[in-house]
Amino acid sequence: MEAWRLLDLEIEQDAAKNLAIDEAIFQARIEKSVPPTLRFWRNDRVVIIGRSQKVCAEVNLEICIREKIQVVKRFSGGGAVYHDLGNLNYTIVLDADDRLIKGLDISESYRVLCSGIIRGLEILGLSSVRFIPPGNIFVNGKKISGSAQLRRKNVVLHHGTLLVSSDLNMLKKALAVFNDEADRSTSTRSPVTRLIDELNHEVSMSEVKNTLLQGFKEELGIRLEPGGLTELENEFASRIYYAKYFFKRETFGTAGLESGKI
Amino acid sequence: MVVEIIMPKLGQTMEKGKILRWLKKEGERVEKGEPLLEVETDKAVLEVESRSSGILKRILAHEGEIVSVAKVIGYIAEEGEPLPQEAPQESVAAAETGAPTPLQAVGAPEEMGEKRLEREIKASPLARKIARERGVDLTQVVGTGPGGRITEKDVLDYLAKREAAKPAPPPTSAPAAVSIVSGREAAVVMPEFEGFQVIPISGMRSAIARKMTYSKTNIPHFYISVEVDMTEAARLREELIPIIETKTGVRLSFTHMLVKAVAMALREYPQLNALCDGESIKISKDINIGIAVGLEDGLIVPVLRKADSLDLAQIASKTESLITKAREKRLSEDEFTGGTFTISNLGVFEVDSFTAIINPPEVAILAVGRIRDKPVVVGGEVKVRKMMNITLSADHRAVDGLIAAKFLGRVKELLEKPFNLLFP
Repeated sequence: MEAWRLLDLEIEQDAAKNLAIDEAIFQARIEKSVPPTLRFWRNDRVVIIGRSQKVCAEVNLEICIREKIQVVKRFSGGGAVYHDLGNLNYTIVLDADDRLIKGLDISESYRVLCSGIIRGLEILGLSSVRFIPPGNIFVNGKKISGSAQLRRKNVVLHHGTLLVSSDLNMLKKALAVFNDEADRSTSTRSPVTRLIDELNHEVSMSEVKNTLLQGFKEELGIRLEPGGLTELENEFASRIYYAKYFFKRETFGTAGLESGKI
Repeated sequence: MVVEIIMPKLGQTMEKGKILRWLKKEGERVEKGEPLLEVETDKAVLEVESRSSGILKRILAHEGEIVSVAKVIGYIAEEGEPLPQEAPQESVAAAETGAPTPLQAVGAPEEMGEKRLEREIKASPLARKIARERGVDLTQVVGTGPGGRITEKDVLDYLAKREAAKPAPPPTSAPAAVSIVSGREAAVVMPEFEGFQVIPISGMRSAIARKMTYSKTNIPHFYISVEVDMTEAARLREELIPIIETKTGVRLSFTHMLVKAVAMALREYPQLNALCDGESIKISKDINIGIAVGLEDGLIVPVLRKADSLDLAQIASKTESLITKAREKRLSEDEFTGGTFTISNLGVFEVDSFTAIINPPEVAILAVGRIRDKPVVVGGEVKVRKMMNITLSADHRAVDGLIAAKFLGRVKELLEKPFNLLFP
């Protein structure tokens, strides 16, 4: 069975650092210096917009300033999402010619890479879990998970969300697509649901992670070995963080928002 | 041979792609297989590699434009080869701009049933193979085989029809471009009456605005100043000018001498040769000095790498080449990133002294004023000396006054006994 690295690594207070780590793993895989990787991570209260989206079209800035919600732009495409500690993110980095997705069209690769999450949700006891292209998972007609991909050289980064117990009221308030100014937004508004609502009981984050791991093992036929970031990845991550997020347009700290300068 | 660069079909259902970034500039050489541009589809962000070698002669579709699959977005050719006339212009006109595709193309789930899924389609293996190779969406092909099965001929017919009539994409209205900066100016209301020339804060100005706002609102600056007697340095400079000019063709300036003095002092006080984000301080091994260069429409800080390992002649020639490139906006990314300390010299503009805003994530910046003749008491007598004010701004999260004072004292000492600058 093929061995993948499992990274349970989050810097929950700084979404930009979390994103820099994702990109660093991707770069390190391009350099062929790390094995295929599955990562779990969370962010506290942040709106993350897609690579080519505009802050003012996607984010309800008034709410974000008042509630001190960060706004960060990610390097992958797709629509705006709201994260808090009730939302679990996962990242998969593997080669485009990995046996799992070799020769598959991008849409088909989404189906394969989302299958571990789907299986995990089924093990947890959910029924009618459906994959909806391009990279979404719906339960009983409502979206519970979305994902995006970035491809460079021969490497694929696939990352996605899973709403476990997020504050959906805040999610709807913070994202412009759920508000009156939705017309400027390029995100898609979907009915959303959370794992705890579908299960009808509380569930701990570690139980969710363990079950998803089971799902990935079953669906992808892989072995997962817990590991950490390599020195090269650490170096990439700090370089990316400083170059891309520290003072450039990819982050919009609430301090700047408050002073009205951003 | 002139080769067309076309918007590639990067997935079976891809119809359009958005140009995110060209990784090469017009006029730059590109090798076959080298990354050429980044494209965003409704599914993913992908890096596109060049299919041939040559010079990227023209970019027809620029960053942010959304272009249909198979449209020409640029040309690669050899030096001196003429490009086809006019034809490309049409492609540009046909390329839509601004209107983004729905990025997460999730309809309500019930709508999804409407479109036949690829898997459920009946098609011969050969038909599937051709479809895959030629990028045909089988859901769009009408099958004529038994039970509506798609045959090889059906796919080829479909391809022939598609070639014959490439439909122009339907026009979509572009959303109003809203700048991040102007969109957030709620705190300040500008009066509206005639007589203003309105300049949107964009591009370089907006980068400066963001960075400086970040710095001034997040970094606890403190400032210390010293007056430096530059009489000896001026004398040494006069001596060195002809020597260095013969060697490098560059006239030695006070800025070059300052760079050398600062680099030498930083080696002794590495606490100031660092980066800080408020959570940790990173002392840099290399001493990379940024030199602020004013432009008509902004400011850029080219970086002289490993400045402490260079002698005055090398500093002079490398600095001048960077400054020239900066003024012509030809700096490559690694020539204006990676700085660990910045020098801003406004002495040329007759400024006596000033304080500068730290260039984050660096922890200090040195502001340099002009050199002028002043009466100074030397050994109990009033003498005319060439005096210069320098002011250090430092990040109090990373460094305290003591270190800053010692560092500045060392810079002063090196400049006042400038022969020190001649030794590595």
